[in-house]
Amino acid sequence: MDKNDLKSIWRDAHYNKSDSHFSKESLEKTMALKHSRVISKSLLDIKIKVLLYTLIFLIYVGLMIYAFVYLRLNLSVNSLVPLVLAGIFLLISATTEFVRLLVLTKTADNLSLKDSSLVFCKKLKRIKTTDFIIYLVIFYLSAILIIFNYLADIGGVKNLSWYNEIVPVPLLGILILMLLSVPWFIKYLNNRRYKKLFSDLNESVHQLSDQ
Amino acid sequence: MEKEFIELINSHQGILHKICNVYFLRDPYKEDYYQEMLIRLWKSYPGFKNQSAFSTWLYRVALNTAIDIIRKQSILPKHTGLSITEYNIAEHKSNIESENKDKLYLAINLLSDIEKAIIILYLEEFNYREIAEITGISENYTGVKINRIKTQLIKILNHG
Repeated sequence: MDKNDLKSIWRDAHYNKSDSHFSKESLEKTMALKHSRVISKSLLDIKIKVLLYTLIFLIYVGLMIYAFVYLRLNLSVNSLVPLVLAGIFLLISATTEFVRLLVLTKTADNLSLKDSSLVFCKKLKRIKTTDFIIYLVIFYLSAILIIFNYLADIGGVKNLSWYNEIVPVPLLGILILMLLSVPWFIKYLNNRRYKKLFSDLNESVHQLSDQ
Repeated sequence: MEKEFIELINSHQGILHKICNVYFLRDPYKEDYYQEMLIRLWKSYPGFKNQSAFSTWLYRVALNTAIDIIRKQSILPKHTGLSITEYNIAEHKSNIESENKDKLYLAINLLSDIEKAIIILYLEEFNYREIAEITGISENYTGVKINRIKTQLIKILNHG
């Protein structure tokens, strides 16, 4: 077999083969859909997760506001840590699934294969960067707020001493460190999650480049 | 616009079947992906400005969709048991009858997603300018690329 046979095999294989046709009704039905069955099912699963995590997170925030603002509950730092961690977990779960939904629904079908890959790659990078910046702002602000509150509780920086204030509350230190590291941890997770997608996109662009 | 689209799709359905056979040869969700291609073609149709032939535009969108579906598999939750579509699509039997055709499809299946796109366009008698327009490769490089893919295909076909 040589190179010239390829076209004739292809032609013979498809010659006079009439593929089944859509009826007008089934085409109209299909056109009214947002996605095919299997893709809709996958997207629905993700949407349910986003809704569920967001709902639980909002209930959690509501309860925290009720407890600390309305009832003026005063908990020790050690008791606050698990509550904050639960909030972080819910927030991360909701946003991670939301970002996945965003990535899955982004398309650029009308462009050439190369431009489509480039545009999608750019969109993916933008989504990842925005996600990271949002986490950075939320968690660094939270850490700063906790430190300020703590300092206010003990009467200012001048009262801060290693043996009396810092050593007794190791959990506070751990919490601050965790808050500061969350955005970087999420960045690492996103890089891992979208690694294959990025490498496929880069591979496509590389193959479509003049080399 | 809807009527016009339906007529155009009905006269070009073979293209979608070929793309589906190349990209989702043994995939249990082949019919779902065929349908997804149709849906995305319809969504993209307002962007078709008659600057190129309808078949050129159709290949561009359908190939983008097929490649996009494959790329996003890595972040999609997996589902099983959904291979039978509910929709009223006339069943299209696998038309891989001849041994040569079977071999050719299997060989094409071993190529990368981009190489598959280029070789389909070549086998469908598109000229270099049109292939360049659909893929985004420069016209000069298209010939080189096609030649490399053909050599690769022949190697697979002759040596298994």
